[in-house]
This record gives sequence, C-alpha cells and structure tokens, in this order.
Amino acid sequence: MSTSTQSPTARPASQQDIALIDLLDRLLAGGVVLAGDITLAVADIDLVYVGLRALISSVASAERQGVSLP
Amino acid sequence: MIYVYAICEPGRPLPDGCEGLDDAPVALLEHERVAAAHSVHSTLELRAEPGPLWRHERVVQRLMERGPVLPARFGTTFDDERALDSVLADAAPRLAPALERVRGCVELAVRVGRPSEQDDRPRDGRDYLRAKLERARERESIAERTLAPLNRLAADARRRDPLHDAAVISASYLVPEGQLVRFTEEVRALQRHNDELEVSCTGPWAPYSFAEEDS
Repeated sequence: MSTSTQSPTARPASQQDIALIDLLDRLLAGGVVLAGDITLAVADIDLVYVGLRALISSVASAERQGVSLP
Repeated sequence: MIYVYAICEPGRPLPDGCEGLDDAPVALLEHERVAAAHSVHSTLELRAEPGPLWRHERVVQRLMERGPVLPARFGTTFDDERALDSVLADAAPRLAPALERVRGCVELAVRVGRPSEQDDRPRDGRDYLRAKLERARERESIAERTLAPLNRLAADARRRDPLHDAAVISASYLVPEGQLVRFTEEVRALQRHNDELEVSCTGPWAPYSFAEEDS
C-alpha cells in the first residue's frame, strides 16, 4: 500500500470538507434518538470518512478561503 | 412513512418555506410540552450523502429560528403518525427538560490536531504500541493546555476524539449565544498561540451532541 506523505498543512482542506465531517459526526452519531427506525444505506458512510486526518485545517486557512466564522 | 427532523416546542408556527427531504413540506406533530417536526412520504430512500444530510440540517437550522431544538439523528423514521405520536408521548418527560437545557445555546465543533510526522511508521509491534501510547499522552497534554479556556466559556462540553487518529482532539461545545463572539475569539487566539497545531471550528450547529443526556 502506498502512503501519502503530503501533510495537511501542504494541502489545506476546504472549509466545506471540514464542515461535512462535522456534519457527519453530528447527524450520524449525535442527535436525539427516538424509538423509531434508523433506516440508512450504511455502506455509503465509510467512503465519506476516508481521509479524515487530511481534512484538518486551520481557522486561519478557512478564513483565507473567505469563509466567515461565526 | 414519517421522517423526523427534530423535537421542538409546540404552539408556534413553523418558519415559511420549510421544505424537507424530497422537498416535502415540514409539519409539526404537537403534544403538550414537545412537538416533532416531520414530513410525510409515500416512499423515501435515505442515503447518508451530502444532499440529504444538508437538507436535514437546513430544516433544523430553520427550526432554531423559532426556539430551542433537539435535532433528531439522521434517518429517524416511523411507519405512520400514530407510531410517532405514541413514542412522543412516552419520551416527552425526558425531551422537555432536554429542550430547556439547550435553550438559548448553539453548538460549536472544535478540532485540534498535530500534523503527522513525515515517517511515523512503526518498526515492530512493540514500537507501534509505544508510539501509540506516546501519541495518546501527547494528545491529553495538548487537550489540557488548549481546551481549558474554551470550557470556561461553554455551558457544557463533550469530547469524542476520532478512534482511528490519536493525533486529533474533537470537542463539541454548548455555547450561550451571548458568548459566541468571545468563544470564536478564543479559538482564534488558540490558533495564534499554538502555531504547531491545526485548529478548526465550525458552527453554529444545533445541539446535536447535547440532545441526549449522555450521547
């Protein structure tokens, strides 16, 4: 298996990437659990989680991309 | 089929143009103390993909305009209104106080990470375990010195570090809206004072990480 040595700093993730990871963390693992059914195509999830480590960015780089933080 | 977005307070109309999955209109099923924001579907194929996830989130965001919200986990469905109604009746005693706990607050997501070494591949098993222990220790020391000022500004905090990456700290904060500016200033200061770390902050989110007593 080949591994990438590119550091996250060299390739800053977009704020959209981080927002998506944070969204997944919340919608799929958080939230109130009612007694209904959780009906999901679970196989899709792993694909989106791949590369989480590479998606860490800095507040500074997010701001450089013109994303206004609250 | 009924899809549930969130639990909120009864007795107030929904914001205009509140459209859910497949553009279905969002409605409220109201009880005395709590209501369920939901949409009705003849068929619904749920996929954990950005489109439907963001749509769920957008409905939740709109609901936050009208009062406290406990967002539902993505994919919560019921066969029909009667099934939802009976669950809502049973859960009301736990949901109503939970709504109070998050009133006036939003959630912010903070990640603090250390860029990985160029070559941190282990030589052998013992080396791997030693390195893993070291990373966990380092993470705790980073967490101790970086997260304390954020904890002070928040009403509540939860940590859920990614299992597969010992170098990343992931925390959620329940922040009173009045503290939002101070909190984000603190996050910026955290990045300024810790050049070697990578800090990210997203939000404001609905209180997904604080919807259950111990989620």
